[in-house]
Amino acid sequence: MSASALIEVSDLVVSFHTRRERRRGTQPNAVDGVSFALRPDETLAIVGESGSGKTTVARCVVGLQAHQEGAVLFDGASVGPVAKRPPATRRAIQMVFQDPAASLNPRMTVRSIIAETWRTHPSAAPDGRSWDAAIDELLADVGLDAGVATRRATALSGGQCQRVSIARALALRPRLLVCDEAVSALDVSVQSQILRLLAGLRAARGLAILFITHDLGVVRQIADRVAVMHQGRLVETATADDLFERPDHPYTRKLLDAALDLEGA
Amino acid sequence: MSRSSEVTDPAPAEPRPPEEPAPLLRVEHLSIDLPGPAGPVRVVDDVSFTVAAGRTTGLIGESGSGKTMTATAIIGLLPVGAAVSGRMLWHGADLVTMAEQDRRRLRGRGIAMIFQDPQAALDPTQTIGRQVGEILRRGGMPAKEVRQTVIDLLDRVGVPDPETRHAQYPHQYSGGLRQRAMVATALAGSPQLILADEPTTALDVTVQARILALLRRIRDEEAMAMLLVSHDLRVMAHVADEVVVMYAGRICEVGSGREVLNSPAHPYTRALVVSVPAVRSKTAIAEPLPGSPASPAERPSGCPFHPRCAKAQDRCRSDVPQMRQVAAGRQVACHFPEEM
Repeated sequence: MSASALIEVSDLVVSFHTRRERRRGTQPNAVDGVSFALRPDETLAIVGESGSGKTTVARCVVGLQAHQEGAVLFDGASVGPVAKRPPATRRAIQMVFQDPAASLNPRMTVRSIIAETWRTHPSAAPDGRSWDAAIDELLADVGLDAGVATRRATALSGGQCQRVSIARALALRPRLLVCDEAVSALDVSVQSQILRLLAGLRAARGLAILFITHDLGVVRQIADRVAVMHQGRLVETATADDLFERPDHPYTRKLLDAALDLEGA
Repeated sequence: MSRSSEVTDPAPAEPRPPEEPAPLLRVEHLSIDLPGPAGPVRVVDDVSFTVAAGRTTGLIGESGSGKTMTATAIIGLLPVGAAVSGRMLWHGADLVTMAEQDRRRLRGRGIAMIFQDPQAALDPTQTIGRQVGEILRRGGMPAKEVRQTVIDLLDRVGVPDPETRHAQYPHQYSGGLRQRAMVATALAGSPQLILADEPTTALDVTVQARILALLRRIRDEEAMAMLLVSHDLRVMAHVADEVVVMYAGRICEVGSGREVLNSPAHPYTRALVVSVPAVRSKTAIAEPLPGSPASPAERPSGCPFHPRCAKAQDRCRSDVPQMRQVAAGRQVACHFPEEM
């Protein structure tokens, strides 16, 4: 597994307490010894309730959060906070955030939001053709018409903003997309649009996706494997089919039992 | 309940069909206009429904549907400048024309509200007990009695160790406990109707299930009416006796929760139902509706849903569909509803 893994997280520990508090050992760690691996074309969902540490794990993978112990390996090389990562690694791991409006600069047009990524990473910029044409193409890939390029995020709907976020991530031709509750804030009738888009992009571009969510129904639709977090620890990792059909850990069973379905109400 | 008798006493009953439960609240042709940069925007347009005692009515809708505005109008907390027309009959008295003084007396006592985000709705500088007991104190109840009543209320909604915890502050409560405290605050005025706006959306699944069970228990034990506002069809399926589906400020479909969610008659309701992913069985990602929910400021002509509807015909673009009966207790505003 580890030989072919795109991301390998081993014994990850993150604490938001001071060093002294940590030494005393009385305060729980936000992430407490988490290990998992993600293959290059795989969608892994991390599920858990608020405070379980799922978002912190995602932030460590992207490099927005430093960890105290353990390691995050990308292509076999240990990576730390984003500022210390080589540009190629930074490019390769991109994130889509929960709140589509808050994660786009309201003063920039969609065109400049995407162009900015190429100014930061000139190696990803389209060569031999105009940026505008490349931006139009990216927007088309995420299901937006070219007219959106000149608009600002404030003039877009939630679903459109989330498509722009995805286009911005794709502009750097990443190998891993980390989606933190990327459909949770969207209207139900828009959620399935974005899920379809992600599933399609994954197939077309061979993307790996780390999908952080609390919505088990969405996980069942798009994940290959599922990792369940509870109080900073991974309590169970299994293929999606196994996890939903044959949950092993009592906490997983509790989560599944509590989840509501439309059927059988 | 007796303290508020002067405002909640039933007016002489109007004749009504015997098989229907008596409506506690009858909303008739409610329209709300909010001031906007380009003139007033009709955020709620000709909405009629009833809420019966001892029943939970669900207002379903996405962003811009007008569901929260409808609830806000009922509790009387619309923003300044909102223009309301139509009627909201509460025991025969019209809330739309009622004097502000009477409305204030009704708020919390006849009609109470539970908000989505207990963290934001609770005052961080006051103890939970003080906030739960506020309406009792204002009603003139002696301090000792207030304390005991608050402890009883917290106990009833499942806050553990209420003797100690009533003196704690919101930050010492977990999200689920805070929402229980909100429910206790709503119950404190012994209301006949509770409005609950997305009461479980901010909560974890395991907590959500417990809060929903609590709301169901209160409805059954106190014969209280509840108007539940939510975009979450799964929550509705578990709690709502009747549902009202709204889109772009208008009602698309009304009926019993079970029937509407099992066999939707309106194409929009159908699209919502199929887009809910299941946990206990594997479902494919639903065929998505095109576009985004219509905004009331740019409401499409005719049926507001027509730009996203696969069944739309010329008529849907020009004529606003009126509510019509398609089965007993089922009303739909669609020119081409599903056969019932």
